[in-house]
Amino acid sequence: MTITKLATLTASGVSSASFSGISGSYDDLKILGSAHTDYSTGAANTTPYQVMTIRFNSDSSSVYFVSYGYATGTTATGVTDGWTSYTYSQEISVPLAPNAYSSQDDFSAIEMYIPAYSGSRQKKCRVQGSFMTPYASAGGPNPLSIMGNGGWDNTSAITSITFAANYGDFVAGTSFTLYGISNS
Amino acid sequence: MPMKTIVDCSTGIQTNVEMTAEEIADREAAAERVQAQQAEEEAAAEKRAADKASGDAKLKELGLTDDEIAAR
Repeated sequence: MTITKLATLTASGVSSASFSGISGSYDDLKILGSAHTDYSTGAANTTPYQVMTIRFNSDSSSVYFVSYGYATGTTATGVTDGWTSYTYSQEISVPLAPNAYSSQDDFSAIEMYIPAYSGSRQKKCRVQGSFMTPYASAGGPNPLSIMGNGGWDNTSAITSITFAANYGDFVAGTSFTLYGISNS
Repeated sequence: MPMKTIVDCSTGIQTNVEMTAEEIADREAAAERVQAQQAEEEAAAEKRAADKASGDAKLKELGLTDDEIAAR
């Protein structure tokens, strides 16, 4: 197996970050990332994170699905866990963008793996990540972690991938690195 | 005006550009969808927690210890 770094995105003061012009000459894709957003009003008052949306080829039609297990909390404060699943969504959405109510130093750790991204079948990916929030009203400090999968019901080769925060902008320190995986 | 950043993997060049009106509207619609999903998840989690607390209290009334309840 050979891993080739294709590009690194750094995102600061922007609402979305995209890889474009992805070559189809690899077997799989892997993305390692880390994100934090500046949002501090409205919905963020009740949660210490923003949802990050992921789209392939800028497709906004209702052809995505996502399922992930999550756990948050500690033995001391109590653990909440469960399973979330959406079908026929217009994006893959995962809670991996800590906001201004989280620690400024806390960036999520994100990992995605997309097998056969240029093949002729529908596309799927593994997505997982975690972050720690000190959100006091939620009994913090609390870790939050997810492990799941997403899908794109489209047979086109993936040539672009976009990450966006549902509110606010990504702050300095946010980055995503794309790797091409060759199995031979 | 909201901005977006794009890196072209074929060149490695990253550029920041303003989002179009259409992209802004799409983002706002996505935010509303995601917020609704988030509220649904939180309501479900709160209900699960309340149901668990209620169930635990009833088990305790039946004589189970905290350890026995936790071990279920």
